Order: sequence, then structure tokens, then C-alpha cells
Amino acid sequence: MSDAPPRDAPPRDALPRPARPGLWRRLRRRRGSLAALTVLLLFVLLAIGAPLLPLAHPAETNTARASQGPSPSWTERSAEVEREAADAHPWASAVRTQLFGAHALQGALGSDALGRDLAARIVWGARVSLAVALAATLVSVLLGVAYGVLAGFVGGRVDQVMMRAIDVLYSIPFLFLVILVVSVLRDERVAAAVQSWGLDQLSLLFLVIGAVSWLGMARLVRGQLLSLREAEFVTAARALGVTPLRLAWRHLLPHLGGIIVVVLTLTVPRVMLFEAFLSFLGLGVEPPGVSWGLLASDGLAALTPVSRSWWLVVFPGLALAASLFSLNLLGDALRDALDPRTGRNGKPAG
Amino acid sequence: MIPNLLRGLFGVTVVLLIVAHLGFVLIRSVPGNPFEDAKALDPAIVANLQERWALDGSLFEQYQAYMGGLLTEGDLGPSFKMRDVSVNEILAQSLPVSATLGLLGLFVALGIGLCAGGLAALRPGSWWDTSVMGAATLGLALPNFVLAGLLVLLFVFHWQLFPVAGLDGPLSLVLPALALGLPYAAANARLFRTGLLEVLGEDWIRTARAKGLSPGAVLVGHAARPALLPVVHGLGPALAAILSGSLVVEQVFALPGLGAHFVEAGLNADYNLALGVLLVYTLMLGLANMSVDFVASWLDPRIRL
Repeated sequence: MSDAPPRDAPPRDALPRPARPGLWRRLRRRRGSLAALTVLLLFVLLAIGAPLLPLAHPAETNTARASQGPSPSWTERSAEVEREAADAHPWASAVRTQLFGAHALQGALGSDALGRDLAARIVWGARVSLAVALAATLVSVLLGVAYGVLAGFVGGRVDQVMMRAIDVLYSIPFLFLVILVVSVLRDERVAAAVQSWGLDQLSLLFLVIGAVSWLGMARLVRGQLLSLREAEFVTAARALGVTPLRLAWRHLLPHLGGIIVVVLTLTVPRVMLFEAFLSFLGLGVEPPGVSWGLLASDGLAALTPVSRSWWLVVFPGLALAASLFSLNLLGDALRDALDPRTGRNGKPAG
Repeated sequence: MIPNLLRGLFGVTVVLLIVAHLGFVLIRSVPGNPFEDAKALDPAIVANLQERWALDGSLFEQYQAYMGGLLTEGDLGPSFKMRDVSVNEILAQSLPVSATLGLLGLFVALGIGLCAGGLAALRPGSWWDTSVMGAATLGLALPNFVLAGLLVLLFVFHWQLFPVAGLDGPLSLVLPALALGLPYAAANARLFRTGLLEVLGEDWIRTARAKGLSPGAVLVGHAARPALLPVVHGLGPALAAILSGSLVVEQVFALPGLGAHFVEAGLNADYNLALGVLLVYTLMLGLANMSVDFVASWLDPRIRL
């Protein structure tokens, strides 16, 4: 997947440089990265625009349409559904009614045993899956960068203690611990207490997922900072009397942009898989919410010798696999494009 | 060797203790008494349990009771929800199932992955190489449960080759092992191919060829050992992933293993059982990672533990 480094490339730069211009051009050259970007953009647009689309209500049950295979048709949304949608998303619903009236595309990807429309559920599930993935990644980036900057910036004994702590944390199987945490958090009494702090189930989910995915980021950021600390421009800034906080924010953080972006793209698919995994086990997003993991789990539960609703297994899985695949591909391409060994404009340096 | 072994075991013990304490704190932070909604429980039994586990006492007394039982007798306590069963008994029943499944998954991941990667590296650029690498890239993006669903759809319902679910003879473990191992077989195939291609360019491989060894003999006898190193280094995370994957795979195929109990315990708020299974997973993972380190240092003696 990655091009071999050019033979006459100079040794890796001693200092990480801020992200250079021409990133987009270099990214575009990588095989498949444009396709991956398109797929991701499509999913993001679908997720953001879900209330604008002429789709059935994701939780509306209809026994007349139970377990039907993919067969698209136009139907009218009931007045009740319309009212509910208008309450939840007044602005978007108004636009949709202007465009499509009460028409809705029903059964494009089939329906489940309760007659709920799978296409609508996948689109609304994308909202939850992508939102959790982004929010959890953000949490992990904030934690990791803060920890790494603190350790690398203060240095000395503090740094050593902080890094030892990371080593220990690394050997804890967090995925299993998270399941224990989530199951404790689901207890009604605990849930009520947490709700009184103003946290709902979903924000709790991404906080927990983010809280266990920042170790790699912290390590990398700290490593970069250690080499940056000794750079001349840092000494110069110090000599000019720049406060430590301003030094970290204004002078050091911009140099970490590249590495943060790379870890970011590697974290998003991991976190997304984590959410799907938890939801699949029944420990993540709870009905009536929808997420791709939950849909995959429902689809498998619906597979019995009597009803072979293959679409319930295939389409949610496809959505999940396509976005994970694209994220992986994009992450690889971005890492190559940001690699200091390839010079400006995508040409080998030197 | 012995000091390294001891150091590794010490590390595993430390992690186990940390996880046990974290778990203990978590569980006791749930308000109320674990037995309050077990309606039909005899008051005498409740009294006994409360005395044994100091549930009436302060947090410190409960801590003493739990950790005392754990450290002196390896007793993980009673299940909060299942009557008359201790966590140890549940573990004794389900651990063999999970261990078998995990080993089979590992076997799939290594066997299929190394064969596919090795054959691909023999003829880089051939149709076999291209298709293996394409399949591997796809496989990396397939979560276990999606793969499990597709396998069930194809081999259980469409062609009816395997039983639907449950543990019934060796045939019922084929699909779970494939669902568990194939994504990591994909990762291993890629790693092994890259490693082999790098090694095959070395001078001493040319020497081996020059003295008349067949390509296969060069591959197996000379190139495989150093090329295995990236695979072995990736094995630590892969083992963790196989263990966590077994959670969903056991659920999909209704296998009575650890994972099924763990998830169920989580859903039923059976915290003692959940913590017990968590500790077993932590132990297995720690030991597995330790063995990976040893294998890596055997493959490349320059690596010091």
C-alpha cells in the first residue's frame, strides 16, 4: 500500500516540522484515497442530512411490512410521524416537507421483523455511530495531547513517573474493563446519579471509550516534545520571556499537528469498532437509539431457520465494513502523505 | 531466562492486582446490596453470605473479605444472580470452551495467514499475490461479528454445512474459529509477506540460493525465521483482539464459554461474576503477552527481554 521510501532520501529530519502545504496534492496521489474520502463524505452527509431525507421513521413499526426483502416503493408518512419529526427537527422537517411532501422511500433495503425500514435505520444509525466515533476520538486526543505535552514539557522525574504509569496502563485489558464499567453505569441507580450530573447514555459512552484510547497519542506526543524542547527556537522563545503556557500553545503545539492528525485517523476506526462492538453486545447504544453495531446484532438475532432476512445482516455489516475500510485506507494514505521522508509536492526530498 | 520469567510473572501479578482493585472499587460503587433483588433467597442464606463477604461491614471490611478470599484461596466469591453457584465453578465449566475456541482462532490466524502470506511473497505481483493482499485488506476492515453473520448466512442457511449454534461436536467449532481467526489471518498475511519480501532481498538469501537450495527451502529454512518477527510482534495485540472477539463470537454461536458469561453478567449486573471473568481474561492476556516476548527473543536473539 505504501510506496517504498526513495533510495536517495536524506535521513529522517531531526525535528518534526509543522504540516506543510501541498498535503492535499500528495494525499490525492495515493491509490484509493479519493474513493475512501468519497465513501466517508457520503456517509457523513447522509448522517448529517438524515432529517432532510425522504425516509421512513427509523423506529416506526408496521406489522404489515414485517421482514420484507429489499423492494423500494414510495409511501406516505403518517401524520403522527410527520408531527414527531417536526418536533424533533423543526427546520430540517420543514425543508423536507417543502421538497418531498409526506412522501418517503420505503423498503429500499428491506425491513426488520417489526416492519421498521432498514434504510432509514442505517442512515440514522450512521448519525450515532459516526458521532460517537468522532466525540470519543476527540476525548482521546484531548487527554492524550494534554498528558503527553505535560510529560514532555515538564520532563525529568515527573515525566518518568508519567511514562511508567502509561506502561502499566498499557498492559491492562481495557476492552474488558470497559465492559465492566459500562455494565456498572447501566445500573438504574448509578444511571440516575450520572444523569443528575447532566450526562446521558451516549455522552457517557464516548467519554468511556475516549478515556481508554489515549495512551498511544500520549506516548507519541511526549516523544516529539522531548526532541522539540531542545530546539533553538524554544530556547529563543524562553529567552524572550514567553510564559510556559504560551510556549506550549503557540510554539510547540503547531509542530505536533502532523503526528496528531496521523494518530487521529488511526484512532477513529478503532473507536468506531469499539462502539459497534459494545452496541453489538447490548452494552452500548440502547434502543430506541440505533447504531450500526446494534443493527448488526439485531440482524444476527433475526437469522433463524424459518426467516432468512439476509438483508438485515448484510447491509449494516456492509455500512460498517465500508466505513472502516475507507478510514483505514485514508489513515494509511495520510500517514504516507505526512511522512517527512517524502518532501514537498509529493516528490522525494533532496 | 529464569530472572526474565520471574520479572514477567511479577508484571502480570501487578496488573492483575490493579485490575482487581479497580474492579472492586467499581462494583462497590454501585449503591445497594447485591442480594436485595434476589427475591426468593432464604434469609438464612442471605445472612450467611453477608457474614462471609462482610456485606454489612464497612468498605474496608468488604475489601478484606474479598481480597482475603481471592489471595489466600483463589476464591472469586459467589455469583450474585445465579443461585448456589460460585464464580469459580462457572469459570471451571466455561474456561475450557473459551480456551479451545481461542486456540483454534489463533491456529486459523497463524496457519491461514502465514500460508497465504508466504505463497504471496514467493511470487510478488502475481494474481495470487494481488488477490491475497486484496482479501487481506478487506479482511482487516471486517469486524468479527459482521464476518460471523456472513459465515452463518452462507454456510449454515444457504449451504447447510454446519450446525446453527451451540456446542455439539467439533463441527460446531469450525465457523466460530473462522469468524474469530480470519481477520487476524489477514493481518498476519500482510505482515509476513512484507517481512519476507524485505528478508528475501538480503545477501545471505542470495548465498543460500547460490548454493543450490530450492525456493521453498530458502523460504522455510532461511527467510521464515527473521520474517516471522513482525508477525510475532503483532501477535500481542492480535491475541488481545482474539480474546475480545471471542466475546461476540461466543454470543453469535451460542457457545457456553467465558465470553457469554461475561456479557451476560454485565447485562444482569452480576458484578462478582463479571469481575471474576475479567481477572481470568487479564491473566490469560498477561501470560500470552509474556510468551510472545519470549518467542520474539528466541527468533531474534538480539532482542533482550
